[in-house]
Amino acid sequence: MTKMAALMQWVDDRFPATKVWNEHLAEYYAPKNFNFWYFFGSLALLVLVNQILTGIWLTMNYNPSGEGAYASVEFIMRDVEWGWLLRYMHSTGASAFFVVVYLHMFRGLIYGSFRKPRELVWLFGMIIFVLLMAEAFMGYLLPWGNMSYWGAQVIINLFSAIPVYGADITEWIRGDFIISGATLNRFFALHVVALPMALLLMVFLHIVALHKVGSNNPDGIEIKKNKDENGIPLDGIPFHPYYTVKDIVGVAGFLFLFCLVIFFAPEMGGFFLEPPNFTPADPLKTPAHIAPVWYFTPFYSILRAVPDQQLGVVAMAASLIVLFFMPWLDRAKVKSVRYKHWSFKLWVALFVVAFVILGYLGMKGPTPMRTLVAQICTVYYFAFFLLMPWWSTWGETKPVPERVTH
Amino acid sequence: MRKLIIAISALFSLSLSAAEAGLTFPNDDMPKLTGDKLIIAQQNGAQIYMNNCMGCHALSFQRYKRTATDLKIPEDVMLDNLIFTGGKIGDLMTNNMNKKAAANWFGAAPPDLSLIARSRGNHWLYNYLRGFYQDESRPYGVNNGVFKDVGMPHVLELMQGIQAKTEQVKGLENDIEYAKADIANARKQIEDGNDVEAARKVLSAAEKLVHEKEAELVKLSKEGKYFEIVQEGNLNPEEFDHAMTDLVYFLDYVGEPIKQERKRLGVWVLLFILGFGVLAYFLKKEYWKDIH
Amino acid sequence: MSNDGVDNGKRRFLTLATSAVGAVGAVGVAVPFVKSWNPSAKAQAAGAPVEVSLDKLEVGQMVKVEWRGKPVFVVKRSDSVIEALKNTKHDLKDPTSEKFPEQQPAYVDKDVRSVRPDVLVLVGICTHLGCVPQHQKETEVDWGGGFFCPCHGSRFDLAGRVFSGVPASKNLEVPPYSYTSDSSIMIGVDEGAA
Repeated sequence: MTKMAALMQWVDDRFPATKVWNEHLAEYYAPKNFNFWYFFGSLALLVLVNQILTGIWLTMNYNPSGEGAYASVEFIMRDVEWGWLLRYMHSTGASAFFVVVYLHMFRGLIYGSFRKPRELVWLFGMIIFVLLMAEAFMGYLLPWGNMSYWGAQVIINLFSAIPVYGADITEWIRGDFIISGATLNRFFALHVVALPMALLLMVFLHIVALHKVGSNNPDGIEIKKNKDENGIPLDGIPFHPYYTVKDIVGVAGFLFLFCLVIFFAPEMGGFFLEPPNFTPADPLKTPAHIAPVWYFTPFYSILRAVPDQQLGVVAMAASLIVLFFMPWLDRAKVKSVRYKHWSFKLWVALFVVAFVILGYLGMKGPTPMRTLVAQICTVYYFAFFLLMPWWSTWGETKPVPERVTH
Repeated sequence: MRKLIIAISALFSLSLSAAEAGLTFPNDDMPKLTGDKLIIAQQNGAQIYMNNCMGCHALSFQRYKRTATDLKIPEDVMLDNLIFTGGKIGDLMTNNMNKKAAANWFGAAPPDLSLIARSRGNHWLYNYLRGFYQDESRPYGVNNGVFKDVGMPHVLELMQGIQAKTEQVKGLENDIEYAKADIANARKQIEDGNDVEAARKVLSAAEKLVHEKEAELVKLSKEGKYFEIVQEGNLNPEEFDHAMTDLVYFLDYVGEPIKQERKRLGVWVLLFILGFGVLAYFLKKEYWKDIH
Repeated sequence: MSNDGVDNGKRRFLTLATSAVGAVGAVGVAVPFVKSWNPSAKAQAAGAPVEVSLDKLEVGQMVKVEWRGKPVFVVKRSDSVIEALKNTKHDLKDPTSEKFPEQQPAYVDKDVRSVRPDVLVLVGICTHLGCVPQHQKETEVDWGGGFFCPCHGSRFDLAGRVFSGVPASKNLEVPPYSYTSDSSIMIGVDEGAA
């Protein structure tokens, strides 16, 4: 036995290092027909690491107080060596996180990755999504720009829609009569400590659950049904090295686009860093036009589409909650879009259109015309999910092959 | 479908708010400068800023030393010619303005301009700085075509002189004002159900008129006939535009001092990632030969 | 899965090449994280050279100035003190600063540890555990005067040289400084640098 092997043996006797490596990488058999859409899970993990590392480094110079926050961000941008890069990596990473996660969720939607036996994978994923929204929202307050301030003001006031206790609850969340240093401080604590820990835990559970049931694939068939004499799925290949080398290509592609934004358009034309946020928070002056950051706007549109304040909040919450029920809403005989009836493609295509339009309208000030369009899209959004048990059974499905196809 | 295309194209258009702003004058594009020309412009802009703006508008997130280094101004030149507060080279670019007193003089304390180029944008600044015109109804005798009723006096009067709207522009604006009054009356009439048919006619005619007259204003502005100089300054209009270009590029620099450097670095980073990607691609291809 | 036609040499080369380039990339990414710990522009501005005027400094007196957040002592020494330092009768650990030459710039005199004999410039931080020693005039004490550290009793003479039998082992540090004129020095700028 070589020294290295001896050391490994010593470790394995005390900690299941080799076992974990094998179970989750070297002998984790993934379907061999993953396509483009399967990059986004590992990319989400990459962005998470980026956010955590740059986040830790930003806290080293950030000052979470009403008096110092805004100046400390500019201090990072100017006086700290390379601070500008750390900050842009973090701010661009926030948007990149949502890009990657939305595409990851879309993949699940079209290939039926949430269907039995992957219901828990989906539920853990949805919890991650909600936590991520909370994380992003609280992080957005920290630069203490005027958009940070008023964005938080609007979102916190959503809670005032709660009957009877609304006003008290908003006051309790803010810790003051207006958004102030107290609010900033607690958001900072949640953003850098509590939520990241919860996120990491949920990501861990998401992956554990996935590796228990195995990955789905673009054909939506279970590779575990066809195994060889050693019990290895015939259509499965070890995640390492085959998908590690493949994911590295995906990482390179992602990093290219990511760095393109960081180095050439860190503001992304006002989508990632908004112009009004380059003026300090001012409790006496609302920016002429306020809108949440782009990744919240579809849900914000749903909120505004409902004419009643309380019902609007309910609708927005419902638009998120309904996603949790996906595993039980889809009643189609097959999982993947490849073998579903053509009507599924139509429903999904219209859903994407509605979601994008909602996102667009959420950035714009309301006009009667826009509100009408938003209402139509909102109705469609809910119809898509609530009527799914019915429409997903429409029409003939195509025959599903025994084995995966290329 | 067309709406969708408009919606989607607007989604990717680079400016969110510009499209929704009303008519402002002037509305000219600032010349694009790069390389050495940009640095020279920024140096000149720094000088204009220090001499004319710094008294009221601090740049309190920026340091003299950084500015000197980035804009290639020797530190002793900076100390002798551009620092008027007796500050040291490593200091932040602050001033000694009394905020309370200033708020009394101007209605609001002059803001810090460290990040003005990032919040307002270069285009806005370029036109704002060139948009002061004679208006006796204002406390300082000037108004601004971009930022209506701004509290700031025309600080650069010595350079630019004083400009006023031309007679033609005043005429057009009068017409528009009357037409707008007609529109308001017509709307009220329609609301009250009073001679609706006639009111509709008046309304559409007036709206058309406003549209035409506004188009004429835009055309005049493009031709440089919106304002005329009524009292000459030290610079002719062309020189003044140059000076304002320089000043805006200086503010653009102060808004994000790393801007030029990050673009230079970005090219190398992208090339590196590209090279890495090519290698990774061949590695993947090689391994995937195993998979049939 | 099959292994026919696998070119192991090519595979190994590509693995190594990708890993190597990836490692370079990782180091590149680490650079901003590591360098962000350097003193910021603010810290550097606060640590800028400090000019001290010697006009009002009387013989035997000391002024304390702050440089990079540290106390710096400037002492004007009398001729008799200089003479005594050159022929010291005390037992010193490092009388000619040869053991720890990094405690002073190369351009200061090795006995009196200064550029001009009459003006002593020292960083006022005890080399033992970092307390600030007290200046004791030669006329006030019987050991020739110098610096006494109240924390653990270390003693240094009027050239900042450490006595034997005390906890500190290095002489007090002489910061970089230079004369901008006959009557003023710049602490933080090396002699001959400007």
